[in-house]
Formats: sequence, C-alpha cells, structure tokens
Amino acid sequence: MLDPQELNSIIDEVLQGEKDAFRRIIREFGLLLRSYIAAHVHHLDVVDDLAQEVFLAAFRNLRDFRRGDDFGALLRGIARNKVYEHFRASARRHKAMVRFHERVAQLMETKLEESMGRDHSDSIETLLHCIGSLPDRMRRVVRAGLDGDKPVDLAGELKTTVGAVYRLHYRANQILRECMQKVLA
Amino acid sequence: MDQDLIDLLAAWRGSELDPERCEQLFARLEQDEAFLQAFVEEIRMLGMLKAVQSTEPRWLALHEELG
Repeated sequence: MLDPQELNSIIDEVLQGEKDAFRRIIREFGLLLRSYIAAHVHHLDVVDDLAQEVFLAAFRNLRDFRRGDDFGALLRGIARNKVYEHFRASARRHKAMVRFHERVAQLMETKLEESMGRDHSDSIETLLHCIGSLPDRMRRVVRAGLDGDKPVDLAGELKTTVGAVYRLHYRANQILRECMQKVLA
Repeated sequence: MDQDLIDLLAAWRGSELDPERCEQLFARLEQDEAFLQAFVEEIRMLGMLKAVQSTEPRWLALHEELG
C-alpha cells in the first residue's frame, strides 16, 4: 500500500514527464476502482472500460490533484460521474430499469462511499484466500456471481431454487466479511 | 435474507422487474436505513468479488497514452 509521501513522489515524477510512473498508481488503485464500479455495473467489459476512462481522466488532470487529499476518493468521484453517464446512455435503450438504477445509486452513494473509503487493494486481495475456504456449494455460487440469468442457471445446476441461490450467496458474503476481518486483524 | 433484498439485488444485477415493484423497493430503501445498509454491504461485496475474480484488464488506450 502506498503511503501519502510515496504517492506524492509518484505524482511529482509523472508531472515531470515520467508518465510510466503512473502505472504504479494503476497497480495500487486498479482493484479498488474496478470493485467500486462493479458494485454499480455488472457487465465486466463495461466495468473495465469505465475504469480505463477514469484512469485516463485522472492522468490528464493530475496537475489539479490537491496534495493530501484521498486519491481513492478522487478516482471514485470521477467513476461516479462515468457510471451515471453510462446509465444515461443506456437509458435510451431500457428506460425504466436504468432510471431505477440511477435513483438507487444516488440514494445509496453516501453509504457506499463510507464503506469503500476504508477498503484498499490489499484487503480486496485477501478475498481470494477467503473464497478458497468456503464450502463447495457456496464457492460455486460465489464464483458464478449473481448477474443476469446466472442465478436461474445455478439453481438448475444445484437442483435448488433461485431464492436459495441468493440466500447461499448472502450467507457466503457474511462468511467472507468475517474472514476478511480475521485475516486483516 | 428477506425477499425485498433478493428482488433488489436481482434488479441491480440485470433482471427485469415491473415498475410497481421497483417503486416499492425504492420506497423501502428510502425509509429503512438497515435495509439500505444491507443492500450497500451486498453490492460492495459483489463488486469486490467481481473485480478480484476476473483477469486484469489490458487497458490498451491507457497504456498507449502512458507510452
């Protein structure tokens, strides 16, 4: 994890023309940023496209970054605007559901920012270890995710109901949160 | 896990929901702080799981800009 001094010196290097140094910022914040965007948008290709746009915007406006501010919060702020732009662009296609997404996103944004402000890439990486310790059925559900029709497919595969798949994932998430706390303690 | 949270997560992750049900869920989110918090914790975890379990993106445009 970068400390504020390291981050400042990387920013100095980039601003002096060492553009390559920005890759350290991408490595440090990439997972965190993609997690934040993936909390809003479920298509992985959209998540990664938006994350790239956020990094490009941050790189191009790096001179405006106020030293001492939270760089992760800056990235999430840019990401929030990109996510809303994405919702609006999609709204032309699926108006009602996209409008619902946008309203929910605005309602929960403060709470999500509070929660994610405490995360960093190292803590997210501990999740990989924690997933490995889940019981088989839970691990299967967590690996598949809950996007689109996946819960229906999984319910068929596991010979259970869609509701049971959601409950299994919910219970798995509780175990994962406990595991992360224990590992990071 | 209550049915409202299941329906809200399903809608959030791409399932279609009828407009009336969307309004009910939105109203509960507005009025029920614990429900809002539970939803936030779930989507935060789902976001982390998606990011950590996927391959690192190539970000060609970004790397081209960085030289």
